[in-house]
Amino acid sequence: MKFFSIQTKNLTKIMERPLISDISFTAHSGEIHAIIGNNGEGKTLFAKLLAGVRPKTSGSILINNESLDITDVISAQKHGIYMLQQEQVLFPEQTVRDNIIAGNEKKLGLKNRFFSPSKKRLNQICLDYLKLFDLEHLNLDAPISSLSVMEKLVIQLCRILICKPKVLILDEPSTALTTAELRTIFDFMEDFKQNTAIILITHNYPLLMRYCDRVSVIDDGTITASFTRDDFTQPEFRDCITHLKMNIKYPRLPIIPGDELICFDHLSTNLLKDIHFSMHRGEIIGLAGLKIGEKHSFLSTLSEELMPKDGQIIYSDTLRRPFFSLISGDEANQALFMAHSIPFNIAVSNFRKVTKYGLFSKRMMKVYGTYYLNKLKIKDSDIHTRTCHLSTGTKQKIVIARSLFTQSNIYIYDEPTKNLDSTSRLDLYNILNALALDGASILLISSNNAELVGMCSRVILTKDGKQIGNYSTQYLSEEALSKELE
Amino acid sequence: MFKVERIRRIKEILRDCHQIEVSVLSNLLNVSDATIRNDLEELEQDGFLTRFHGGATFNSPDAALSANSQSSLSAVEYHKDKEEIGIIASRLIQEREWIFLGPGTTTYYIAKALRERGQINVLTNNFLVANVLYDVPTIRLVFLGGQVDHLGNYTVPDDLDKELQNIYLDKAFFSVDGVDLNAGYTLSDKTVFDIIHAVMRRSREPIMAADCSKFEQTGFMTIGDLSLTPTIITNAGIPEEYKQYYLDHDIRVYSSFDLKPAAF
Repeated sequence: MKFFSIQTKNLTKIMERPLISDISFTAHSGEIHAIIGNNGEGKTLFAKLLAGVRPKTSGSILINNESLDITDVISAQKHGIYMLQQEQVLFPEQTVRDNIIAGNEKKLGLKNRFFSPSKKRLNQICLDYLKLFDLEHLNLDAPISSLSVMEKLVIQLCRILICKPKVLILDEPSTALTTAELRTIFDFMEDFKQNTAIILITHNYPLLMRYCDRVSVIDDGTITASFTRDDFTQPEFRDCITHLKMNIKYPRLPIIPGDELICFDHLSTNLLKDIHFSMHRGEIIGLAGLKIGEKHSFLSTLSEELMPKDGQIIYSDTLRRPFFSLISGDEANQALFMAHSIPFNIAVSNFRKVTKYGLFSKRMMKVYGTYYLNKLKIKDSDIHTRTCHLSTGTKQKIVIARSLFTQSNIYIYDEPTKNLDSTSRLDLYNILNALALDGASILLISSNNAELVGMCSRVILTKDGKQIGNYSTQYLSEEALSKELE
Repeated sequence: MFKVERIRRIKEILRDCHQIEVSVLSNLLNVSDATIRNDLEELEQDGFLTRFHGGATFNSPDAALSANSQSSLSAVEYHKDKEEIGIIASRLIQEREWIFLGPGTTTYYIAKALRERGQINVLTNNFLVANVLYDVPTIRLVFLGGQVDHLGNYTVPDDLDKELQNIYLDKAFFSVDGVDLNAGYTLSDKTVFDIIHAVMRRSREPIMAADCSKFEQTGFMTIGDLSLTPTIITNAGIPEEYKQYYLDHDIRVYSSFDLKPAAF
C-alpha cells in the first residue's frame, strides 16, 4: 500500500465550553504516533472525534488532503478509521468466535452465500488472527466473560484487524495489561504499522520510548508540541514527558496503629489459601501478587457473596455500619451509572445521607457533588456534565469520590491510581493519608510495587493465592518485593 | 425547625468546620439566608463567632481565653489549614529525634500537635512554641536565647554558628512568607533568613511547612528556589502547577485533605 497521511485541520469541539480547540494534527502511515497529556485535557475526546464516536463542531479531517465526511462511526469506518476504545465493547455471553466474526461477515465474504459458512472456516479465520498474538490456544466456544483482560482486548483488536484499518486508534491499552502482554501487542504493531497509521493514547513511559515514532502533547484541548524520534533526546521533550515517568516521592506518613478493625483469620476460599493478617486503625496495608481471579474471590468473600472455605473474617465489635468502602479494579465505566448525573453517582454509596424525612433531596446531593468535584480537582466538568461524557481519569475520580462519601472505617482500594495523571496520583496518596489520620484502615491492592513500598506500612505478599509473607516496608525495598513476587 | 434547635445546629456545625458561608448554612438547615443572617448576628453578639461578608468564623475558645488573659503569646489567630499541617508534621517526627521549630505561627501549630507525643527533643527560638511545650514533661525543650524580635515573637541569637556548633538535628521545620514559582521561597525578614540557613546546614532533613495561602505570594528576600527542601507539607488547595513542579523535582509533598463535608 502506498504512503498516506491523516490530517485534521482546525478540529474543534464545543460543548458548554471549548473542549477541543483548533487542533491541526498529522499522522503518517508507517508510524506509531503517540498522544500524551494529563487527565481531562482531551486526548480521548480527540480520538473519538476522529473515529466519529462523537460529532465534531467544526474543522475537517483529511486523508491525503482529501476531506472526509465523518458524521458517525459508520462513515469513519468506511474511510478506514477504527478505534480500539478503552471501554470494553464485547458481547459478554457470546462465544469468542461470534465476537470476532459478528458484524464482519460481509468483509470476510461470507454474506453472499446461501448457506451459513462452516464452523471450520470460521474457526480458521479466528485462529489466523489470534495467532498474531500467540493466543491460538484460546477455546473459541468459551464465553467472553470467562476471559482475561488481555484476551478480551485482543479479541476487540482482531475484530478491527479483519476490517483492514488504514488508521488505527488505540486508546490507552496499557492500563490493565502486564509488561509481557504489552510487548506481545506492540511487537505486532511494529510490523503492522507499515500499512497503517497508528495513533496511540498512553500514559505509559516505557511504551512511549520504545515503540513510538512521533509524540504530540495535548494540553487544554489543543496540541502544544510535537516531537519526532530524533527530538527524543532534546531537553524540551524531556520536560514534556518527565511527569509520565511517575517517579513520585511517596508521601508516606508513619502513623502509630490503633485498635484492630478486621482480622483475616487463616482465610481460604476457592482460589485463596491461608490468608492471615489483621488491619488496625490508621494503617495502610498493601496486598501484592493477587491475580484477577484471586482478587475477585477475595473481594466477594469480603462482601459475603462467597462463603469462605476455611477460616473466617473477624470484625471488631466496636464497628458501626457502614464500615466498608470498596473500589474494585474494574474499569470505571462498569462502576458508574452512565444514565445518571455525577452527584447521583457520588451519593449512591450512601443514600441515607441525602435523604430527609424519608425523601431524597436533590439539592443536598448537588451540594455534596460540588464539594467532591472541588476536592478532587475535577477541572474538565461540573455537576451538570453527563456522566458518559467524562474523560477516563475523571471517571476514576468520581469512583474515588463515591468511596469517600461513605465515610467508612475500612477502605479497600483495588488499583485506585490507574488512569490518573501524576498530580492526581499525588492527591490520592495524600487522601489515603488523610483517611488513615482520621482513624480508618486502608487495604491497597496494587500491581505497582513502588506504590506499595512507598505508601504502605506493611505489605502482604501472595503467590498463587497463598500468603507467603507479611513484611514491614521498613525492611522491604521495591526490588526485593518484585523478586519475591516472581 | 425551631430557633433554639437551629442555633444549636449552627453552633455544632461551626465548631466542626470553624468557618462557613451563609448560603451553605441555609442549604444545610433548609431555611432562608435572611434567617441564618439573623441567627449569626445574635451569635456574634454572644461572642461565639465573627461574621464576615457572606459567612462567619468560629471564635475558638483558645483565642477567647487568651483575649481575657491579655497575653499576646497564645493569641494566635485560629487557622484550620495550619492546624492540619501541624498534625501531619507531628506524625513525621519519630521518637527520640531532635527537631528544630523555626519562627512563625505554622510551627506553633506543629508544637501544639506535638503536645500529645512524648520522647521528643525540641530546639526552638520561637516564643509561641516554647509557650506551648514548656509544661510537657516528656518533651525536652531547648530555647535559643538572643535578642528578641517583638513582632515575630522569636529571638535572634547573636552568634548563631557558635550556638549551633555542636548540635546536629534530625528534622528542621521552617515556614516562609511566600511561595512562588519564579521567586522561590521568600521571606520579609533578614534575620529569619540567617537562622534558616544556619539551621539547614546542621539538620539531616529540612522540611518546609507552608499553608496554601502562602502560594503565589512573594516576600522581600529569596531564601532559595522551591527545591530548597526535599520535603514540603502543605494543604490540598495549592495550584496544580506547583504540584507538577514538586513532582518534577523529586520533592516529597504532603498535603492535608479535609474530607469531611459538614455533617448534616
